[in-house]
Amino acid sequence: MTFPVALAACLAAFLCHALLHGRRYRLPAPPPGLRPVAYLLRMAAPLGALAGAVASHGVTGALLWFAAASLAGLGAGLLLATRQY
Amino acid sequence: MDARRRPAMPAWNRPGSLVLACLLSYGVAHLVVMDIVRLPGPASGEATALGQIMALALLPVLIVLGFGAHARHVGLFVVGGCGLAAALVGAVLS
Amino acid sequence: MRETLRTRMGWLHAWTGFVGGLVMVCVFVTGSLSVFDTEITRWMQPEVRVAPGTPLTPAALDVAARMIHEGETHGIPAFLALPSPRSPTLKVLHYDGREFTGPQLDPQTGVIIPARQTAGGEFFFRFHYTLCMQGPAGILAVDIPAIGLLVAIGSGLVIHIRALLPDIVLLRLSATRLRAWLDAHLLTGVLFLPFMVMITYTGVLVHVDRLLPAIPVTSLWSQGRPVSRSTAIRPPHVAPSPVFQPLPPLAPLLAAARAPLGGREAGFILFSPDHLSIFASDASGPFLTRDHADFHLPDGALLATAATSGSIARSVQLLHGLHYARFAATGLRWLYLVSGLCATAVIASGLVLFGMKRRRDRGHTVAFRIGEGLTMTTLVGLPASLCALLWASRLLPATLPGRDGTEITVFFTVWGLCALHALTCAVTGRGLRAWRTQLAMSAVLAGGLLPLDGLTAPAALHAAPAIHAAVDGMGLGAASLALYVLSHLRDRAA
Repeated sequence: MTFPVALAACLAAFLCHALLHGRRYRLPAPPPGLRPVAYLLRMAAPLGALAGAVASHGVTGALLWFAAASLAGLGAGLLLATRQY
Repeated sequence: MDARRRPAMPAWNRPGSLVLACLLSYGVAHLVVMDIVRLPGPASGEATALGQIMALALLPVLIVLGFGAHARHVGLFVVGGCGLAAALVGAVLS
Repeated sequence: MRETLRTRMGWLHAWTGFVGGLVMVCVFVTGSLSVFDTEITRWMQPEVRVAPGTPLTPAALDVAARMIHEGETHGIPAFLALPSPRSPTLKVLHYDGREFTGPQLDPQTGVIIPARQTAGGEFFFRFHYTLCMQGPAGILAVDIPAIGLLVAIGSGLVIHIRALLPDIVLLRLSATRLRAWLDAHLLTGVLFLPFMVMITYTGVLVHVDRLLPAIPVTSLWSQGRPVSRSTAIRPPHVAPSPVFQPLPPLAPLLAAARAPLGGREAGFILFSPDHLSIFASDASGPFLTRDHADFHLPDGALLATAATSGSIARSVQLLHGLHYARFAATGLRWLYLVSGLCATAVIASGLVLFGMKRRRDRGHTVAFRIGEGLTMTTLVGLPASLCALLWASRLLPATLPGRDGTEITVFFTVWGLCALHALTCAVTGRGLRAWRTQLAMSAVLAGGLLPLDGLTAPAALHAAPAIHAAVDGMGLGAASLALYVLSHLRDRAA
């Protein structure tokens, strides 16, 4: 369960990151009320997932989190790229 | 110095500078291993392992620094200075 | 051009990345595959159909013990690799000067399984850290480009530092071709940066004694070669004329070793004339230890337990464990493989970019064309020759003497021919044609693994469906990728 949770958390964080840099990623600017939520999610979701992974699986958890973060970033990048395409 | 006023340097200078940075950095990394082995404290095998862990992490950083900071060869001087310091520490410890 | 930090770092990144990258692609591809070396060996030996989890019996251990004792009396020291979830057979192995080899026994009956000789997944592992070169030259031939890769990563970070976080998931496929390739290189490079740094650093650290020995540089060559602190299993040292004690039943010793090893499973047993040592399995945790329990021969009394303590030694064990990933369960092992292949993609895209950026100005020069030929040899020739090795493992007669060596010869012959073809075509200005030919050949060889497997070993497909599906599926994936690139090259040519 650690890996899917970390993957989802990191994917959400990367998408929030893209939303917060809307001009770079050619995305519409988020509504003002959503910006603090996006900031919070971008920071808290991956850190929470990392803490959970390390607490439950130690070194293996950290490795799972790094792999999840890398793959989530790749997924987010491809998702945003195909959207522009 | 303003980058626009900085004189252009010939491209052939780069490989030579890289070789020099690599040699100096390797020397410093090796001296770090030798210094840590001579440190009083951990057993010889453990000290060697610690020295190698640190020196290996240091080696690429020193190469990038030695080659990258090119203005008046600051990078090479810094790496050389580190080597000198490591050699002095080695001389004191031995 | 004005010399600035950025231009200088760009030059360093390009050249260390290109020269080191040619080697590191080979190292990363074979290293990624080595994560599943045991499973690849099982694919290459379809005769081994022992189900995972088959219990190890005392009778099988006794057969193995007799074989080892007989070997010892004939001057062939061997060790015993115990069954594991990944490799369910009992192996009596000895070092033949190149690799560990020996018969495999059924863990239940102790009967020798008539498996074909094969280079196996062990070949990928050996190629990964020595490029199949003998002695320290092979290790240095991998370690020095690995340091080059770390330098390329460092210089790449300096170049990209400002846009590193804002552009972390930026990929503009609709931009120009160069921009799209650069974005793909940066996207994968930044996202897999922690994995690349970790795996490269820990990889060099495994054989760091060769690179940074703790002896004065001046005495490096005058006092002989430094001793490697490698974690590889080595055969036990044998005295000139040892008297080998008879071996007691091994099953009770394995049970007795559990407590001194802290409840960990045993991985292998080494034998000496007067004692035997039971080592903890590498799969028991992220720390790659050589903790063992020694038993006296012939009575089997516990002599001593060797367990490493100390924070530095434990750190080294962890760093080695992270690189070898022998503790990892199947899921994490797949993540290592995917991360390794993504790291390969970073280096491969860097090699392509190196050529793209220079093609307009220097595309006509011989040096550029040789560079293109070498890139082709690495990016397409290597996967093709790895597939050829798998084809050879199935098509060569199962009883051929020196079969494993012949498989390796096939690999190097195919790779050599690919290099010759790539360099000849590139130098004569037919580089694009060579790319297309070699991609088509790779697609055929990789995609053909599934029918080859089905036709030559249908029974093995039923015995270990997951392993065969994974290897054949990887072949289909590689073939699809080759065909996709091929279709793009055809569009470009049109």
